[in-house]
Amino acid sequence: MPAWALRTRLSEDAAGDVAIILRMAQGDESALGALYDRWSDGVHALVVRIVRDEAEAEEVVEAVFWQGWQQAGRYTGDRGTPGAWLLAIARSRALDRLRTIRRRRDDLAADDSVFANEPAIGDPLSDLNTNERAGRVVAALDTLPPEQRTVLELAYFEGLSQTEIADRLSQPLGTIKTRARLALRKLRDTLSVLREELTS
Amino acid sequence: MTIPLTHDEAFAMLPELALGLLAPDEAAVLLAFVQTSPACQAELASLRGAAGAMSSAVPAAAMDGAKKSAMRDRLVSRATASAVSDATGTSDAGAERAATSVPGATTAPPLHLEPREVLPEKHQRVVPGQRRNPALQVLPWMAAAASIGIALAQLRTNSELTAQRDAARAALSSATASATQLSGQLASRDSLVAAMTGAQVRVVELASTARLAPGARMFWDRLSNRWTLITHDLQPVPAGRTYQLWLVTARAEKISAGTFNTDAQGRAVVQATYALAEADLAAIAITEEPEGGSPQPTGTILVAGTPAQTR
Repeated sequence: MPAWALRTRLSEDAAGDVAIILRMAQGDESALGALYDRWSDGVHALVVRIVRDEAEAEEVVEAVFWQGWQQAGRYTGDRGTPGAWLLAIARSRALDRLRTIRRRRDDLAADDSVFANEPAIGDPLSDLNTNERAGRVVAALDTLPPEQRTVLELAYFEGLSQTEIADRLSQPLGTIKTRARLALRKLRDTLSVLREELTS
Repeated sequence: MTIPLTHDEAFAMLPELALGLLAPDEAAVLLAFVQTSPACQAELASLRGAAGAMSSAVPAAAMDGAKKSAMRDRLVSRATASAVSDATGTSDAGAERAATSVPGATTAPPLHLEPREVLPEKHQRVVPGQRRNPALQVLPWMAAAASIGIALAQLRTNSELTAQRDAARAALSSATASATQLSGQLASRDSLVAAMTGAQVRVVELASTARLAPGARMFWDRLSNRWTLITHDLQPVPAGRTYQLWLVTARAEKISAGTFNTDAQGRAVVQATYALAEADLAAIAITEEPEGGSPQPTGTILVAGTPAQTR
């Protein structure tokens, strides 16, 4: 895959988000409202997808934007676009809440995924607006074999370890590792192809 | 875990790291290896990008309109309040912890001040039919007068204390606002200095194509892919128009790096983040465009620079 396919090119939306984050970092509380207006639906959708409980999700969404307000001064471009950064916070928060819910139900012992502590990441489709990006990511996911896609979704949206996924799917651990490796690399490559098609 | 001894082994495991599938000790070992391998770093970044893009694939699920609006109001109110409390240093750490550990917590309920307790009637002693010395009868009046005097004095003292307290609060609030503003300015300056002084920062001079001499200087931090443009003597554009900054690649792609306007002195600071190989940068240019910017430049190039004009 050509290296240039993964360059981050900011869409107009993303450039506007950067301006909002800079205002937030300078203490402009109206900028928090602006960020909320732009991203609350997207953050809410992701959080609901993960915690699967509307009331829990609303608390998480509010916490996500509050964390964004508190950490705006620490945002840098190498954390991806502001949207990717915010969604990474949302995912981390939602997985934390999901684990709390599971512990509450005694369904699952506490676990610690390092992913939640990793810095947010760049989005290969950052130059697309939200709807375009969503369509292409869905299309890319649809190209994956179902068993590979399932592993990706259990890892990403449920925060399960590979051992837990193996238990859930009644598959050997080695099989889960192989599926995860193949799935994510194929997703990355497909997104890049879609990216190239868009620019050509 | 099997500690990766070879580059290939580490490289193969990167999807598991990007997805958060590894146990913490496994992840720590692999991350340590990644730090030593630029190829692994690039691979991990791209895989994390792909994993992060999955957030976009979630079907839209908008919140209830009233709840959404109420949440927005709460957040903005809390942000306003925190701007004050953070700067006072009275409760910032605690408030922050509370805010993060109790997601969704709203502002504290209003303080209810109960009226002072009134002495029940049974405690108001009345002894009828008792004869009193006239001189002694004055004493209660004198005592009452003295009590009133003391009460008035206390009232005045309380009033003065209240006024002093209010004045102190106002002064604190003013100082807090100033501190918040200064803190924000300082953070902004720190960020700016960092963007211009890094070891990997490259400087591109942009010269004017007009008779007047507006100009600009671009600081390109190749380590963080951060671009910081500082203009001078570039007259502000009128309403409905904007300046737009372009990165021109070797393949003649014009990449928008943002829109901006200058102040009355022709100054502006514009920052953008964009990953670009050094050899791919052909030029940097500023054009005047309709408000909101253009997908591709439509206006005359006002200021431009090339990598040859670097230092």
